[in-house]
Amino acid sequence: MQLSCMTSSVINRTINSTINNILYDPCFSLVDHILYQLPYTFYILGNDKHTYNPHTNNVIVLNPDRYNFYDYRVFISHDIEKFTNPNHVGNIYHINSIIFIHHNKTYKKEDIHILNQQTEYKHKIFPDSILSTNMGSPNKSHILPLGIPTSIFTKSTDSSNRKLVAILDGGPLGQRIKNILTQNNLVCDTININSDMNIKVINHIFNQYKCIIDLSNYAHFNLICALASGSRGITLQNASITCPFIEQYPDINTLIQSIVHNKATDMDAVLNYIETNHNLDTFNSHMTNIIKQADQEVFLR
Amino acid sequence: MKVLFVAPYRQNDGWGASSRNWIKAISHNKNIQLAIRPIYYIPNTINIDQTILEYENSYYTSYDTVIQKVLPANLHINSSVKNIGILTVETCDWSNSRNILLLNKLDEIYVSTLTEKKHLEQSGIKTKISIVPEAIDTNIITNNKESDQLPIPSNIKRNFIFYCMAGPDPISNLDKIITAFHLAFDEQDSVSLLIKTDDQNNMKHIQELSKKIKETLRINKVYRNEIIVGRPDNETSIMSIHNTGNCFINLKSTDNFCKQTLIASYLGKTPIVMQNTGLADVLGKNGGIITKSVKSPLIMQNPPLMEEYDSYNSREFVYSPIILNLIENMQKIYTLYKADKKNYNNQMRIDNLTDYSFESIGAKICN
Repeated sequence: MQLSCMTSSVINRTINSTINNILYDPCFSLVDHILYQLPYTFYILGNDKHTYNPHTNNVIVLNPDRYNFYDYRVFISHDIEKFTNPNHVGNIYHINSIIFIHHNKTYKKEDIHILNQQTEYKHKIFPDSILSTNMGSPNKSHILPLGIPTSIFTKSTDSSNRKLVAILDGGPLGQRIKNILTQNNLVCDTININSDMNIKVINHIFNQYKCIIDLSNYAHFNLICALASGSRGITLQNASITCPFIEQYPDINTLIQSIVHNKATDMDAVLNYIETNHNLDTFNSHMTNIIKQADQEVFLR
Repeated sequence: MKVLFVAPYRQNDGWGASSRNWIKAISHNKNIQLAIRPIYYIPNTINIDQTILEYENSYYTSYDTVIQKVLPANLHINSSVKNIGILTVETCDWSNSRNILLLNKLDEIYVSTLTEKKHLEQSGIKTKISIVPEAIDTNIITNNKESDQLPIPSNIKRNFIFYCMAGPDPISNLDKIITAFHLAFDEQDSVSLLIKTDDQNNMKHIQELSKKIKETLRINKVYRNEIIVGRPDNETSIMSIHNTGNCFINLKSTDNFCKQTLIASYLGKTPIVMQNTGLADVLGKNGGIITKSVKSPLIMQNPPLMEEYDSYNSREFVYSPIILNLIENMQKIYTLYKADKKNYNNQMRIDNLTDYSFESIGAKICN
């Protein structure tokens, strides 16, 4: 083990202003692919099994014995709870952290206080102001909706040539929906999109279905991508989903009934919404600024 | 000249306090434009004052020199700058350590004493080694009120008080100090032993150590009790200990330089230190009394925090005091005191600390 990793990252960040290396903790969703569009190399502390391959040139999955071969500038994670452990990698490498908070998890007031205290010096990115307010609008918060690459997520297949419905990230609830649909002789696939897939492949999968159902924590973002691919985006009612084109239903029965009704997606309106609210260039530009800011700030524990 | 200083200066411990003193010293050098960045070995941190914060907020586009006050294994060498490492050499003979390779890549090493320099050279360090000790904030002494003493019973206060700042670990040689104290004096002598430790838990361990020593000595039916204090390490608290005691004993095997020993000498507290350590160089002939020592392999009770830190093993050695000589020295100092109580504080002391002021040390940095 190279023992100088903390000293070298502090010195190199101070002496050299060029940011290359990001230490990244993937969330294994489409969100990872959006971040991989940024002009940095993403280092992932993998394990010996080498199971993760996001199919992009700028992502390097490291074996444990190689962790300390590189200097990292910033640590990006999607799991704020990891920061309650004082030995999280950001602290080990003495680099500043950026935490994405994507979904509305119900924390007790005391837990919010503890989380905010322990991440006082970390940058926190919320997709909207509702989530930020729910977390008490902590220090170093940024409201930054994720950018959607509309050059990749495109409608290439006409609706008439698509299968009816696919469920993302099934889980027990998804399985129940699938069972009911199958019992009613409706074709329903369960698809697992994770960041192991090439982003173009994910667009290709979306283009095979009229409806995409997502009940996961990343439903808001995944379904906007599905909309851009010409599918209907369907989920259960969720306060943190604000996109007006995502269909939200109060219960499973209503959700299932909605599937059989053929609804057309207004692609112009969807693309206009994405352009206004999830512009990729705007996201990349803000994200680059946050990374630069985190990189140049003094590392405080 | 633009200098980047990297050290654990935000830590709430002795290492942090020492790092903050280095920052103050470097910032007194008018030729240096200083930026500082913290590293952390422990999670316990403190708020730093505005004068230091100012340097933490300094950013320069390029640097001429990087000064690191870190463990040798944590040194980072950057080929685009001059690399200086500030080292605290606690043991002798690092020749078996991988750290030698790193230390030889530095451009310059600062150590506090000539003894440390010799230890490094004998270990195979080829890098230029300069003697630049840690600065002492002389304001602490200027602002010190002698009347600010520990609240101890007046019958003990009237005694001649030997005092030390030590833990129960073997490196502190506290067992030898306690043994020597009880062997050196009998019931007629008006003497006491005050032990300051930095951890409340240590107080209990020291009491146990003392009990064990007394059981094995078997010379008296009743022994004097030591005064054990677990006061916090702030400056006022430490000064009150100096003000209470009469003779400071520092026999810690790993202390080649110790700010408190110098302060004690300046205050006329006739420090007892160990031969073959940096403290003996620093105090010279008149600054205190030197106890003879014997070389022994370093045996640590607890292993280092990480296996990769290959220092602090038994290939290194340290010095331990010869107990009979320590007894003689304690008796000698008490006799000196009894002979001329009024003049005691002026007999063996260093006259001034200006060589250790922020200005003097600052002028030596990057010179």
